[in-house]
Amino acid sequence: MSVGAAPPSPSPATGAGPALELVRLTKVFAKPAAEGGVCVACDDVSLAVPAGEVVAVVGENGAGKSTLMNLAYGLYRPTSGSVRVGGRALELGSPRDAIAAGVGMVHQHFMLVGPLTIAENVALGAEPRRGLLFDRARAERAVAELSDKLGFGIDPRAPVASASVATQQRVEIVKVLYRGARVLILDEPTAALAPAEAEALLESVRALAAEGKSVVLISHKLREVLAVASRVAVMRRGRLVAERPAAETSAEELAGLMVGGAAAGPARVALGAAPPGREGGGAPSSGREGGGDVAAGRGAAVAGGGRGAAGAVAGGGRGAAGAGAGGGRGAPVVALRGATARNDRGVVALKGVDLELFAGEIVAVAGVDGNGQTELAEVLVGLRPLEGGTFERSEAARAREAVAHVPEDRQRRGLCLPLSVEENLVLGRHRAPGLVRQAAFDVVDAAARRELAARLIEALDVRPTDPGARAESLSGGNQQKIIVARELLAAPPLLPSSPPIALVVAVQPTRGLDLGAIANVHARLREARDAGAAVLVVSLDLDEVRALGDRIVVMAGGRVAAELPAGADEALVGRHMLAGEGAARA
Amino acid sequence: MSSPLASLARSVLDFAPPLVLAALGGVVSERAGVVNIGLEGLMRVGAFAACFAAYATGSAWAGLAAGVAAGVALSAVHAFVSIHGRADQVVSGIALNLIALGLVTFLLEAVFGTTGTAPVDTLPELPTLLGRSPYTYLAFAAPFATEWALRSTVPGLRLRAVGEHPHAAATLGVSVARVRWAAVLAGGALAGLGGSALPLAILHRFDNKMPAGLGFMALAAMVFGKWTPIGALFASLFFAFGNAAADTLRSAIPRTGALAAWHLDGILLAAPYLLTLALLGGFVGRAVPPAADGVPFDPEAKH
Amino acid sequence: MPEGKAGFGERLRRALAAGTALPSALAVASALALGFVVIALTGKDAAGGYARMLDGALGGPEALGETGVKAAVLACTGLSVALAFVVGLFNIGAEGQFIAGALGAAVAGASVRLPGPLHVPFALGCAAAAGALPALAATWLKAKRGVHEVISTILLNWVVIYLVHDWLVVGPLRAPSSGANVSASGTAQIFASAELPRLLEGSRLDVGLPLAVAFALLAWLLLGRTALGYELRAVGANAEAARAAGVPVARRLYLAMALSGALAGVGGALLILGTERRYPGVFRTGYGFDGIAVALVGGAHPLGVLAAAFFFGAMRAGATRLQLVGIHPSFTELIQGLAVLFVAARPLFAALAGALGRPPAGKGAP
Repeated sequence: MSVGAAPPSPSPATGAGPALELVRLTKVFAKPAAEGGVCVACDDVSLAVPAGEVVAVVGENGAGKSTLMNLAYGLYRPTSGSVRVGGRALELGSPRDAIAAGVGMVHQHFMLVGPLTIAENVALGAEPRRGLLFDRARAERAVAELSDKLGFGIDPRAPVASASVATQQRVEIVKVLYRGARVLILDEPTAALAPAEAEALLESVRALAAEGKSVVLISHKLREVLAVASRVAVMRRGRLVAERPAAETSAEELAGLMVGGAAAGPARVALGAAPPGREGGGAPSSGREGGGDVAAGRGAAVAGGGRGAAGAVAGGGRGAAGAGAGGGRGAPVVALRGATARNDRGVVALKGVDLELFAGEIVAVAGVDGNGQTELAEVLVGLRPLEGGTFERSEAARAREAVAHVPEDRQRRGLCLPLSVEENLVLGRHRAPGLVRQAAFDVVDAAARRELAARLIEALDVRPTDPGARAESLSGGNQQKIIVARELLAAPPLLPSSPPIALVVAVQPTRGLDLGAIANVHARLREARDAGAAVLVVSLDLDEVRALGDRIVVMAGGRVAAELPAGADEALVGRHMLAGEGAARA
Repeated sequence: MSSPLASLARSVLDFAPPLVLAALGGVVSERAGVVNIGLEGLMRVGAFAACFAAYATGSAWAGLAAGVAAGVALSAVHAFVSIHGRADQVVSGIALNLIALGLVTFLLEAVFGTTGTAPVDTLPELPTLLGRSPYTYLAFAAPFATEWALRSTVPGLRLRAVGEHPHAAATLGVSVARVRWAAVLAGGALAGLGGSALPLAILHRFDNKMPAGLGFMALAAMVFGKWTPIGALFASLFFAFGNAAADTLRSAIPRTGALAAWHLDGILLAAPYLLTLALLGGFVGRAVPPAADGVPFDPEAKH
Repeated sequence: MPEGKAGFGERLRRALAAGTALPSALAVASALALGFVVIALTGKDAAGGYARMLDGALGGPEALGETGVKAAVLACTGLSVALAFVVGLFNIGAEGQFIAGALGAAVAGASVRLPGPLHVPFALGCAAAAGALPALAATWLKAKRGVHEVISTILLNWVVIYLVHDWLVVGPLRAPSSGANVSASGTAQIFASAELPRLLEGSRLDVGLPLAVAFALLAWLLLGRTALGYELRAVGANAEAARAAGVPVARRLYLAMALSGALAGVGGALLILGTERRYPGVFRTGYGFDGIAVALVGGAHPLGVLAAAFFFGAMRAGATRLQLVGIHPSFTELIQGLAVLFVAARPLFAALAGALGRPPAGKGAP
């Protein structure tokens, strides 16, 4: 095989047709019957990527971007449609043919085998060999040469697990080029990178395109996309809803297309979404809505009413927010002083945090992922010990039931997937006096529990509504709703026997939710605030931070970089986010 | 060759090979991500098939081949169920053990008309070198060869990758199913080979108790050896030495007198297992299995 | 729980949790059918064998009594394994715990004089404690030292077996050889007050069976109806989430394993106090290992375990009759193995069923 040392293969002359062409791709996943039986993750999508160009595919989480690319790469077998490379149709269902045809993919979650060396990772599946022997020296040479050419500075002999995130990202790109790829698919390549690292990566992408390679860039970071792509395709709910030349569009227009014209939620009202051109009013094509996913078809009918209502609630809530922020801030509930803590890998992630949370206010924490927000939240809910500094709590916030925690990783920390929805709705509050007969061996009061579950399911619009369904059979968004319902609402007044909630710690509480649900969750958080709880919301989404926060705390490098008032200027927040750049990453 | 030390060494060299080979079989399978708790059953069918084939053909080599084949055949069931059925591999392994237990007894009765020791006067013997059977040499060579193969060959590289991160391997066009099939069958072959040593080289008979827990010991040796071939070799040697030392001590206790009255046999027999527990709990620290060990591979799973 | 990866415990639970009664029944039926074919292939009378087996299991009070005695013991060891499954642990050590419990009961029954109504509970309590001991050791090794419980319980099995059979019952606990009792090993005969009362004239059925049924019902109530049982299941489903929700995970693991070991120990006690009346020199019954199959086929659900225990108990009782057609009783091990294999392969069947356009096997026991 041609190992990267060779100059890039000559790109097809411009005008000889697109390097990569996706033709009417559709992918239907089987899902539990409770969910409607199927989920159309990708719906009749066509896209052409010319040689030497960067085409971006943007869309919200769950819009089908990753599914589309896994189809293009042959990892998933499409329900219908085809993939063409250089005019030739690929054999689908295995990446083998795609690789042979010169398609390479860098996955959002790195596809690296930790204990193997970088050279082994790069060569895997296309090993230079002598008979059965792995020609290690040749693989290492090839990696070193590619690395030098791109200025990556990779040591091919190092175990990949010991490399930094940025280096791992580079290894992924080398892996693809090593296979002689002419078409590169990059799935959220900057998601885990610090801004400076991301900038360097985008520079490499431009260089690759200049060499004649075609790049498909999947992202939801619009500025990044506009900076590097020549064209932008927008996906929403499994469909390609628009394609624009990068020069003729704006972040505002793209955002509007991503969230769907009329549906622009409270967080995005400012963006003034224009109605999408191609798909009027979001009406799905015939025959699909019945079986659609929550995020896809089914929403349509529900959405209209639900969304309107949610919007109204949100609006009202915001009005109250103003009042609350003005005069409602109460006594301190928790106070951290000089708090330091290590993360799971033993690296110091909090480096002296001072933070006070008061009853009746929402503190929104902004920051680039990995700057100590996760650890801060865990310290506040008592799941991570402090290494230094002090942590004081008011009397009311000491009972475990008085602390509501919407964890970052819902499947790891928030849910017992094999248990039922009802059982998950009481996790942590399951010994509340109203839910068990304390006089008799803590026997569960089944009727009380079922009634509470029914109310929680209704309040957050959990689908399906069957409290006996296994949590693992629900979509990610509905799983998130279970957690939010439990943490914020399985308390007085619905569960009078439980202590009132004094502290709410919510980490990315709306990740994976559709807009109606987002508005609902925001309203619940404001309700908790208005009921007198101290609320801390960690979010990676600046719009959410600015929409919710009565006070905005920016974290960078494991420290509080700034405390800003409600509605602080986006650019200002962004500047503070970059203050301690990468320091917490180590 | 009659000093206690010499007989101890002889005992280790005799009894270690089945343990080493079976533990190695476990390593090969689990490094590819398929848990193999069925080593006991694989050794059992290997031992029985070896005895039967050697008896029927008069050739010990045919016996050896039959032992390997039986291990491969039974592990194919495990491979099919756990790779294509995405079954729980621990449960499937338990099933292998139960099936081997019942099937071999059933066949023993059907073929030899007994459920005790197979009524075979003399089994053909393998040639020996310096008084040791080929199994001894194999048991010392195979772990090093396997270690080398895992490190330096293309199939070895792919096997390690599949056991640690099958999705990564799959995205590069490596067939996870094919690699795992090969690994499980190779593991079955090694365990079957280990089992065949019992009738062909060590005890020169087949009795229905075989392998009497050796397969489970091999499993422990695999963990003790941290899922590496050479680690498995040394762990197996340690176990074999423990057993041999306990045996030597037992035979050194006089049959009468004060010491005999304490009945230390049981304590000596239990000691190697207690020692292993102590070592696993104290010394060795956390052993980390291959990251994808026991995880069925679903190519379309969202990761 | 300081374990690196979320382990097979959770996967095991999921595999077992996914709807149970019907697939298990199908697995058992498939195993019986395959066993039938195997016998027929060896040229023996398969139909006759099965008919005799059925007769030996259910034909008349004596047969029913044997089935009941064996089902009671299997229910205990099956519940033992199932309770460990609930918190995500695989207790392969039920055999060792069974033996420890049997010895505990034999010693308690023979060395202490108590009035009848107290002696049996006392002996059962001693058996429970003796059985819990190795299980707790394995849990400690897991929680504190990170030793996988599959390995530690396997090793502890051998420790218990050697210590009991080659030391205790031939040494310190051996019955003084007096008069008629000249055996070289085994403990002394238990007092009559420690014997389990028999229930059925003309059979060996004793109160062990109602006891075992009561245990299953209690386990069912515990797991399904109490906050404690809910916490045990939450720990098994996702220990990390349970911990975040304030469940004391380590304590729940110890509790579940203590109960698991205790149940296996009581299983051994039922056999000693009911039929053996003393701990014999060698007592390798395999009931502990069979508990694994019972728990798996029973879907780790207390009532499923009870049903599986009755089935395998009947197989064991009927198997002796197989010899009449020239088939060794260990044939039942083969059936058990095949049944477990088919249970393990359930996803495969589900996929096949799906491919044939029928809905996969429906919901079973809750």
